[in-house]
Amino acid sequence: MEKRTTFRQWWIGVAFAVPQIVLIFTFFYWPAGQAVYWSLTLQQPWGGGNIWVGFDNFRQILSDPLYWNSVVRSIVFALVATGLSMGIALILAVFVDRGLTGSRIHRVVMIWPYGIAAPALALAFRFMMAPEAGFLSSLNRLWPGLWDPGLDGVDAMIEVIVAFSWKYVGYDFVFFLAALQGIPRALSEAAALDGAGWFRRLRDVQLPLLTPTVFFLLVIDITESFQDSFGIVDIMTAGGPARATELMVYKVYFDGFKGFDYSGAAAQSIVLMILIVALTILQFRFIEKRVHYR
Amino acid sequence: MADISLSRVAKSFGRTTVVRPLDLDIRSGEFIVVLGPSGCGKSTLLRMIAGLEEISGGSISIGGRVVDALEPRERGCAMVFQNYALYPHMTVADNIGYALKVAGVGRTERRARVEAVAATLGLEGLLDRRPAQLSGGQRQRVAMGRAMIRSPQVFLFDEPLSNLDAKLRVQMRIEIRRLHDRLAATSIFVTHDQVEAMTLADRIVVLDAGRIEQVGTPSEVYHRPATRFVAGFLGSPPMNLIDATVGSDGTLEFADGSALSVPGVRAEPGRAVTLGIRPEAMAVGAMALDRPVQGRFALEFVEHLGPTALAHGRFADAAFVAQVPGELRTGATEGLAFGCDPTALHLFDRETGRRIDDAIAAGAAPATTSVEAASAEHH
Ligand SMILES: Nc1ncnc2c1ncn2[C@@H]1O[C@H](COP(=O)(O)OP(=O)(O)O)[C@@H](O)[C@H]1O
Ligand SMILES: [Mg+2]
Repeated sequence: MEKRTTFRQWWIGVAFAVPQIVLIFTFFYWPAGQAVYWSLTLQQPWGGGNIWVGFDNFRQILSDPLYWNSVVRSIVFALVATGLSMGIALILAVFVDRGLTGSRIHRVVMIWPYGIAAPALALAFRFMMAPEAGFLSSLNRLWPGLWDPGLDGVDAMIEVIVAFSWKYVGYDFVFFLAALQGIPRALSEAAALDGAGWFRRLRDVQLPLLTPTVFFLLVIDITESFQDSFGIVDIMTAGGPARATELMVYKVYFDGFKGFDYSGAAAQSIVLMILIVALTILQFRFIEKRVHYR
Repeated sequence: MADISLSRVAKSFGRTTVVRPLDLDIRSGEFIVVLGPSGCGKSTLLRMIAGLEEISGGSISIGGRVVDALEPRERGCAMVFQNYALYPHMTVADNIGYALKVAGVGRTERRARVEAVAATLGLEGLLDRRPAQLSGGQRQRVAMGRAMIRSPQVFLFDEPLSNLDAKLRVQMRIEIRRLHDRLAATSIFVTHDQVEAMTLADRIVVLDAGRIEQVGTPSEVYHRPATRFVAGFLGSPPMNLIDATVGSDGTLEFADGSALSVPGVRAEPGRAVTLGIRPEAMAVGAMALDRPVQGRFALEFVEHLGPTALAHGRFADAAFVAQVPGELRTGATEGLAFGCDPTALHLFDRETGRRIDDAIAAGAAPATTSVEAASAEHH
């Protein structure tokens, strides 16, 4: 017997698919296609048609040190933020897994930050991190000038990374906890009888079995850090001070809508898109092979 | 070499009591099988000894040392889990050698010892495989190897054979017993399979609802079941158990008005008992006629097992099974005669379920007249 539903008329199936196709086309392929077109032409900010310039836009951004600055910042941001949120999430999940087996409430509570829109979250963090009134202001009272994200680029970077990580800790935690609880308890027990203490069991048995989850979250977190960071940067630092937090996604927006360089921004967004696609393919193709033990 | 001693050991999860306070003394080098139906608390008992489950009461000592407060790794026990619990991301060699690695044994010595253990278990060619690439029987061996490598004082087995097919189970059973004898450790083996219990054990501990029903050698447990539960649990097909009342003149009287003459019955008249007869302890048909105890049961159908057959029917209004020669085809309408020695009968107190010792004199003289069950009156 055929398991799936089949339609006698071919167009019924197509009709079901149309809304989805229309949505994907309107909001992904069409704008992406437009971006590709813009990136290969020179757009005139006040209208007046496009001039075909081939890869000139790409040549230009790739030879621009400011662009490379944003690439480096983005990579630093992605690595530190992903590491931070996954690290904290893992530690929390390990403790909850050891202590609190059974209760489901913490999962709901922990995933809430993920549901908060990035700009709202950024606003809250901006207040908290404000050097003159936030809770870090006490640092400044002890060592004046130690904490000032408005002037110090490193402080600003720390600030956006912390805000972004806070959002993703909850998300990562839920996955880590589910994965930890999915590991048969007998494995830890066997290791306990083999003489391993709890840290050893964690390191030798549980963590290796989490690699599929680590891999999955690595892809998600890094990809999101290239995109979802926009709202946080925009509200908290607007790319400053002195471009210290100008991530790639923010630079696309800034050059395009503030600098009116549509063509350059389009080229940048194409680079960003290719980067994300490549990263995803690379991770799925090569890393995934090594993390599956079955 | 380690004696294990449990005194008043109990376990409850919240309000539910899983193991009632129990005492058990296991001698060093003994092979103990804990036998009982599923859910009776066998695994819990084993896990308490291993230190994987805290005890709610009592005390456990291993080799004369109280281990109640010790971590599993400090107790010197090795365990084979029901689902083997092999580390899926490690090779067979790493699985077996993990305990040594944790103990800080160097790579070369570890490899040598792993290879030695693998050789005794026939795992030589498989050391670089992952558990997922092994058959059920091979995984079982790896689990055994992992338990053996540290030369533990105590082996704990939690239904290790239940996931194997019948043939492998028999083979592994023999190997486990052989290993036990060679390693001279103390073994506790948990199972719900009475054949495993009978074949492996030096002594069987029969557990029901968290309570020890009997501790004894396989022969004792089979021939002198201490309780009605043990009588019904061991043996295949199980013992016939029929409620009766002790009569005044050496008979047992049944609820339907029939009676069975039992020469030498000593239980006081009027006592409510349960009569037990093993299907294989009876002779039927013509061979029954010279037995001291004789009865007749209504035959319903015969189940052929090859060399023998099982005659199913009713006696004293209860289901009744007798093992008969394989050539028996059908029963006569007047029923099938059965007979046995008085010593083949077991009496249990109906209130407590406990065996009534010396209920039947062993050397009783054969009855001169054979009084038969009332159901055979038309004969
Ligand atoms: N962690 C637990 N929490 C609550 N009840 C449990 C737990 N572990 C076992 N039990 C209960 O204890 C009883 C005995 O379990 P177990 O020792 O696994 O039985 P067996 O191994 O004889 O089949 C079962 O009724 C089971 O539901
Ligand atoms: Mg069990």
